[in-house]
Amino acid sequence: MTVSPAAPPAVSPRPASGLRAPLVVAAAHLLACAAFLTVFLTHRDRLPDPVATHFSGSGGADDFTTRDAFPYGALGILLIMALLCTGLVYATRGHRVLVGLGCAVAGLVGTVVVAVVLNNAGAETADGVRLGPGTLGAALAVAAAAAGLGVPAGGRGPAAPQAKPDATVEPAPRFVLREGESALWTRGAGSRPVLVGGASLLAAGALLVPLAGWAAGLGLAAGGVVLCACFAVRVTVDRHGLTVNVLGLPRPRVRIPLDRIAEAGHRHVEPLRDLGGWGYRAVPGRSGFGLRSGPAVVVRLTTGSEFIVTVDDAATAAALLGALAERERERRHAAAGTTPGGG
Amino acid sequence: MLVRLDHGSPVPLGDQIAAAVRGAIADATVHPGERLPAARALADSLGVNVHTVLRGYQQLREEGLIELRRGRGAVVTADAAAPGRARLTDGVRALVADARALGMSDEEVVNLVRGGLAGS
Repeated sequence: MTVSPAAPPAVSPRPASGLRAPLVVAAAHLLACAAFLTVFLTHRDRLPDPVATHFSGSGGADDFTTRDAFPYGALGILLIMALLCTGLVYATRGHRVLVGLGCAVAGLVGTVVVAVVLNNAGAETADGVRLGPGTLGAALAVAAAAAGLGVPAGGRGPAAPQAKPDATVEPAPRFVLREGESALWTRGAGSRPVLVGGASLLAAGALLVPLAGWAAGLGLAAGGVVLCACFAVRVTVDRHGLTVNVLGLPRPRVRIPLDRIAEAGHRHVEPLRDLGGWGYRAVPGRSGFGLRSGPAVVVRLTTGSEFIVTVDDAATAAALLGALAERERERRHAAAGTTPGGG
Repeated sequence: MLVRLDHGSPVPLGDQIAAAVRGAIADATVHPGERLPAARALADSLGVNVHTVLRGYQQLREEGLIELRRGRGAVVTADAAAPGRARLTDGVRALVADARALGMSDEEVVNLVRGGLAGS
């Protein structure tokens, strides 16, 4: 437990390159693996067989693994976490929050597996082995330290494009709808990093089922399905309004009807900055699908909040949506005008 | 992919849909191998009958630009040449329209194309 598995590697203070942050996170995880292996090999002869590997809330052991299988299971978990965290940091071009999180996960998981070995060592049978809240506290402390060391080592993160005055929504160019004309705009949208993340979560879930039980594995796999669902969406603008369908299916879908649209425009959107992350997101005053950085349809609703969906050719979509919403408004005004008090 | 339907035009709605999808394939807004929206969804969006959309899709299939499969819906032909073929088909349609406007017979149009082919 005294081993800190996440001391950052020595990195020269050069400007952040694309690989520096993922390498820092990968190194933190490799250190966690090395710490575990060192502690396991030096204490191997003093471990009971089977080894206690899972502990209840009160700290008592409630699941066991044979001594031969134990290091593979532990290393498997460590490596899955390493792949997930490194991949995520790489996909986000070294975002500082994720670098910190990645290092923290390395510290947390590393400390826990090391603590499992140390607490098992010297025990007659695995039944008496305990892992109390003290271990969790220590693991959290190591995680915090790892994050604190990892974030500065990971560089400055992606260049912040905030300097650009892109917070202003560009009004959509005029799109003239003729009388009796119906129009539709539709396009598939997705994000490769999200698909990779979803697929690796599915794989991790499948691997975790034999190692850590159904609950943990299914949770991860369900997360993978949700992520993959976010990868394959279809954005449609038509007489109903703006619709986002998931996985190319009629449902589930998110639809903004024309009569709830006050204004349609487009602008450059960074999902992490503007929506707090990727996928279907909601933050105060704003919700929508952030699948990648780039052009997005931005709709101001009659309630005053914003709905965003990142999609290529957002300018055309916004222009058509604006024209359709305008026509809908005129139609309702005309209807209200011709039937006064008609209710 | 942008589809605009003029309900007052003498051009059949199915042809208008086919032209819009062909245009999207030609300018690579829709990629080879990409799935097109389901005919039912497209019909609902545009406020037309499903059979109208299917007529348009059928026309594109005859041109070799899309494949229609039961259960999988309409998929753009997974062929890197699909955008080029779509542009070519557009060109042929423009040629035919111009020839018709000049009052040329089918025979004369075919001879014109044959002459072009012989000259190349």
